[in-house]
Amino acid sequence: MSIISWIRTFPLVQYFMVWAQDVFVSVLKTGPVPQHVAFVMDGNRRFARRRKLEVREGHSAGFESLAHILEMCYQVGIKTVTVYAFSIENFKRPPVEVNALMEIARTKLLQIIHHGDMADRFGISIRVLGQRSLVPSDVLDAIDKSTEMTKGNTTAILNICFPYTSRDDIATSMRDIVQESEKRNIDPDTIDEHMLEQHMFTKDCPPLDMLVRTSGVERLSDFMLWQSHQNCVVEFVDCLWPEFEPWRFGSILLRWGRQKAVEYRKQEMEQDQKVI
Amino acid sequence: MQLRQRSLIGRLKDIFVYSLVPLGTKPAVAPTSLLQLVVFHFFHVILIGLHILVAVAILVSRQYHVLKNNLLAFLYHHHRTPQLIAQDIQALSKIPRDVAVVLSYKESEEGGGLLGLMEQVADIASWCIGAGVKHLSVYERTGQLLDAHEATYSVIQRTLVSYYGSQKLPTVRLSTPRFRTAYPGPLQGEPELEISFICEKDGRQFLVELTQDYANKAIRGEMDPSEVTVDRIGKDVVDWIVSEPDLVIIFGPKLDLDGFPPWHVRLSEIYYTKYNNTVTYSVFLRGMRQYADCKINIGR
Repeated sequence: MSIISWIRTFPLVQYFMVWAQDVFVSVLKTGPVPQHVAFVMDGNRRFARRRKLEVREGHSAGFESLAHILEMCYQVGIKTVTVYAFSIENFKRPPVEVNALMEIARTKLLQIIHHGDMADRFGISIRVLGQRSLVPSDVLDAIDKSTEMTKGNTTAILNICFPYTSRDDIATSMRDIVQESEKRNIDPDTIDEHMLEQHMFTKDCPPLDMLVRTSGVERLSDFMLWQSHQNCVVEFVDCLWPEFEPWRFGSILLRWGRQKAVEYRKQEMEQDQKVI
Repeated sequence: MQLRQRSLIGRLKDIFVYSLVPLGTKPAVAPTSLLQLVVFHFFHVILIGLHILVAVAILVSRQYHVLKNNLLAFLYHHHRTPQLIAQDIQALSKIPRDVAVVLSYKESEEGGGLLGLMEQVADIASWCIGAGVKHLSVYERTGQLLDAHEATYSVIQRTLVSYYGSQKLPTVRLSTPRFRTAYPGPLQGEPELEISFICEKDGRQFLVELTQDYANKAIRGEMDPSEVTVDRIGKDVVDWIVSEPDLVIIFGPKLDLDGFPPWHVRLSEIYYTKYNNTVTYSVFLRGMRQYADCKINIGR
């Protein structure tokens, strides 16, 4: 690691890296790319502990990493990115940390819309998924402001799950449907998987293609359970979130793209055989 | 003449833009002009090169993993002796109470078919009893084993005899929550291992059925919509299907839950072995080891 960081101090290396990443993105774009990717950003606190930083600084480093990854995602052409920012269970953490996370969420959301660089450059509309009733009012203001200001963007979507759990998502969807049935707007016999999906937080998004969790923990931790349990590639990456570099994500995308390309080619060949 | 030319250009464009972009690539951004097409192909050639590199890397890593899996299967063999299993398990700091396994039905293959599936269940059941697991959920997407209790039971009995001898045979009970059936019927006391068979329909389909049930109740005025909470659903899911597994072991080559009930995998440790396609003891043991080493902290 030290050799790599030493090489990085060379003149022009940084410039070359940025250029190489751009080329890599252009290359990836010519093949299949997932439509919807979800991230569990795990490992910020361990990162802080290892580097002897404050927990708050660990979370800030995590946000920096997120910005790099998001940039790559939208450059490559991924339409929807969903990130797990805060779980309902996270309210059990010490109040100091919860407050710090809320503060980060508020300032970063406002920062995104004030600078507007990323949101406007890629045409991202920001959505916040989760239980609004649990969010303090000043953060709620920031959420409303950022969603309102980016509402017109249609190229891509950024879903921030805050505070979210997948079970709560499923339960909310079921409750909404039961409520509608009680008012006789829905016939119970017509309820199906699609209807449940249409009442979830992710209703307008394409189906989830890939879920990435960092820090080597091999659990879903109540995130996107319904969306990821079939027809979805789940990747558990053994590195902390602030150390998760675009290169690493690129290699995951490359493997995914190759697998899809092989599948498409098979389909094509089968179709050709049918024609003959 | 001009018309012909235009149609020629049109046809050329058809050939270049639509035929030369291989359909199989499904690019994220399709080229629309000739310049873009040239640029597209320049980059696409690099991509194909990278794909070939990935394919080679996968080939090498598959060979490595297959070799490793075979070696481990050789080193950690149960030899049908419960003492060896107990020895392996003793070294672990904690043992899951509730284990789920994901199996797949393979037709026309050696060790495949319904009987092959039953033998796999019997082996896993024997290891679970040796490890002190109390409840085993067997997930197979198509639900082949749901209504084959009697045949499965006899295969399990036969396997258990070969592990534990016929003197002190552990007691096992099979059940299919979907049909509310159990075999053998009433037992004296708790069985040493409870095996539940679940299928794809116990996942999303069950949640749909549950919503329909709630909706009907709400229409009849027996239930208020505000009663539909995570706790209520969780209680019904556990009552009707199975409890949340602590560990899910996928006996397949890649990390694919294959439609395993989504509500259940909230905090389950998920274990699979790359490029493994067999049900072997070493995979089971490695799953148990991963569970023993993991640290669960909800939200913290």
